[in-house]
Amino acid sequence: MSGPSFVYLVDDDISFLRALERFLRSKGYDCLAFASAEEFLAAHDPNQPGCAVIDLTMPGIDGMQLQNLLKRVGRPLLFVSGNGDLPIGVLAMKQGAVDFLTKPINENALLSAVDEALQRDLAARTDRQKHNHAVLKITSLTLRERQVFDLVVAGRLNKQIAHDLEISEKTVKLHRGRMMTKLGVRSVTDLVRLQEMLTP
Amino acid sequence: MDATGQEERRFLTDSLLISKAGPSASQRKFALLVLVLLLTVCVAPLPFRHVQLAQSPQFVLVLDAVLFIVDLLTASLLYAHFTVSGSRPLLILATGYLFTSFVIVAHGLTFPGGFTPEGLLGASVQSSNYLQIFWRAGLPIASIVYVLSRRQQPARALTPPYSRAIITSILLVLAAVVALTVLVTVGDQLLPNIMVDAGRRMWPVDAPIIIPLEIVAIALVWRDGRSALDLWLLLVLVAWLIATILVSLTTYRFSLVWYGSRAVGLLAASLVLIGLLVETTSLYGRLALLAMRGEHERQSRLQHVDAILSVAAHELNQPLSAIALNVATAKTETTRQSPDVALLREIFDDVAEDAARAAGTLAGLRQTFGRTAQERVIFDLAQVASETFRLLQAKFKEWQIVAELTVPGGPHLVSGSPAQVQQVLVNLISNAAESMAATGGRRLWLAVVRVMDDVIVQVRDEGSGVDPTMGESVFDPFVSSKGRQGGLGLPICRTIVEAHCGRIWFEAAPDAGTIFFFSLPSTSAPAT
Repeated sequence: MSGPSFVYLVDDDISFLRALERFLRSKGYDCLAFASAEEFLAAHDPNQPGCAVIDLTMPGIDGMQLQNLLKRVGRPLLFVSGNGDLPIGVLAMKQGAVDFLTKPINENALLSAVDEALQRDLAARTDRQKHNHAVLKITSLTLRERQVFDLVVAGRLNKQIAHDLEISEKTVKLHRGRMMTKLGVRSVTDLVRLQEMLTP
Repeated sequence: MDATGQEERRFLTDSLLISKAGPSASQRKFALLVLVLLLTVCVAPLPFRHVQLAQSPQFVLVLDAVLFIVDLLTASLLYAHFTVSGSRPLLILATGYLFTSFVIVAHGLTFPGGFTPEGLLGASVQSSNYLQIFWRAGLPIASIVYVLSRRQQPARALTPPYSRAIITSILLVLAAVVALTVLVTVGDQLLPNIMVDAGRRMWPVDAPIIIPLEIVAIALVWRDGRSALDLWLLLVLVAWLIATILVSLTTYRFSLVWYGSRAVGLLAASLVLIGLLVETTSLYGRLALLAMRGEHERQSRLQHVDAILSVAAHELNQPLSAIALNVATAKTETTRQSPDVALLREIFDDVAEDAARAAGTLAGLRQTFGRTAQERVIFDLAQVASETFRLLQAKFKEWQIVAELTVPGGPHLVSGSPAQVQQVLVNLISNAAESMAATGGRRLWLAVVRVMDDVIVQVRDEGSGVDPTMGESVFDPFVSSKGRQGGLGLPICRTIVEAHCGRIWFEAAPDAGTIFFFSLPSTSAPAT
């Protein structure tokens, strides 16, 4: 975890942006407000946990374009729109927006959408962290240990592994013990879980 | 009948029907041409007026049949016009034509040598001649009553249903014709003798009665005539007068002049019918066009309203959403133990500002699209541009820009709403100033020029320019509302310009900046 979660606010209507920031602050969120997508992108740190609340229609880079850019770094976001354009709303949701709110905004809907976006961000971040952790552990294995790991996870017995790798069963047991210690796991079930984390 | 119905009827009768619409220039020309033709027909045969041609009673029968049909059709069309307008004079004229057509039937039947050597219905030698006098008298009398009745009750129309009036009229005509026919056949002895024999009259007995009647009718129609129908009627009366004069020049039946007068009579009878047919057809076309134009106007007005509404909704939504959020925050804040007064003050300032912004948007919409602004007038675009320029002088100073106005030639007259066009100008100039604030450009040019049939207004700046990928979408509603300095934005500009049948577009300026153009169709002169 790198610090507290932020809610990034992007809207070209300054007055609305200020009201939104003030409202979320009063509800206890940390906010960073930007008057355009360009300003936001210049200041945006993908490693910073948090979500984004984006106005759909802005000059320059608009809401949909910004969504495409943010998808790459996995930043959850929700839209606010001045006009309830249903097709665009559907498209935005299909592309992974948490919610599509129309002005004037229902405060409770906004709060629950922001909460959900933050939760998604946190969950994604935890997953990513576990993945990174797993990758780190796996890379510490030697080539032989990695081979044994793959075969154990594939459900092969020690005898079969010895046959596959053309080494003695005793050596397999040796590699297997060292591998389990390096990865810090006790059972085959833990090994399988670790292997699942490798695929992001 | 309700008020709208009456209004529709008045519109129909006043501006569209032949019985009310004034004759056009081409109709007058045509009438004059026919008159000349008639006079020629009248004068040409004079030297040969006693020349006897072949005696052909069948000619009379055929002619009578044709005249019967022509007059009957004319009467029917006039009755139809009467049912539209409810005008009593029209009913009288229709009755006159119906009388003529019925008398012609009696004339044909009693004509000696027609169906039988003596004529049917127990006719005497002079029966058909008497009937002819009645026939000739019918139209002038109807015309005189037509004009007089119009003079007496210019505004009073009958009320529907009209069927009773029409049936009464037909029955009266029938009774009169039957009575007259009985008079000239059975009551022949009561009438003075006017014929020497079947082929010759003693003297032109009808002339002293018919000619004065026709002259009076012509004078009255000439003096009171206003409509296209009156013009046609005048022609008919003149033609009949000529025919009557022609026939009174000879006492012989089947002389050259006698035939000539028949030909003129046929022409005369057809004139009102032709006029009515032409008018009815063109009226139908005009109505169809009118209906189409009405539908088109309604559609475009709806689209216009739609565009304005969506922009207005968007523009009002922004401040209202901000106000709603601010109020929610303030509410939470006041429930705290020690509310942050500074924050609350900030919130209230913002709420006040947003409320003013919403009110400003509404006022702008009202000013631009209110009832007075909707009125279409012909105005000088160059003058409106200079006025706008003068109004914005203070703003130019505030924006720190140097503005220049060029109006070569002029006045450049266009038709529309000056308030709306001014709104477009203010928008384009504010946008230009705004985009220069970003780049530090200083100069703005405004030009009004006439190109072909359009008046084109250019607003050029040294600003940041419009993103070329935006293209036409800068005119779409909702694209941007950022930092507008007194204007309703480009979508409203487009709505206004298109409502004026114009076009709005932009180009990148040669060095830097953007030129916004809009063109309006030029109007040559103020319509009165």
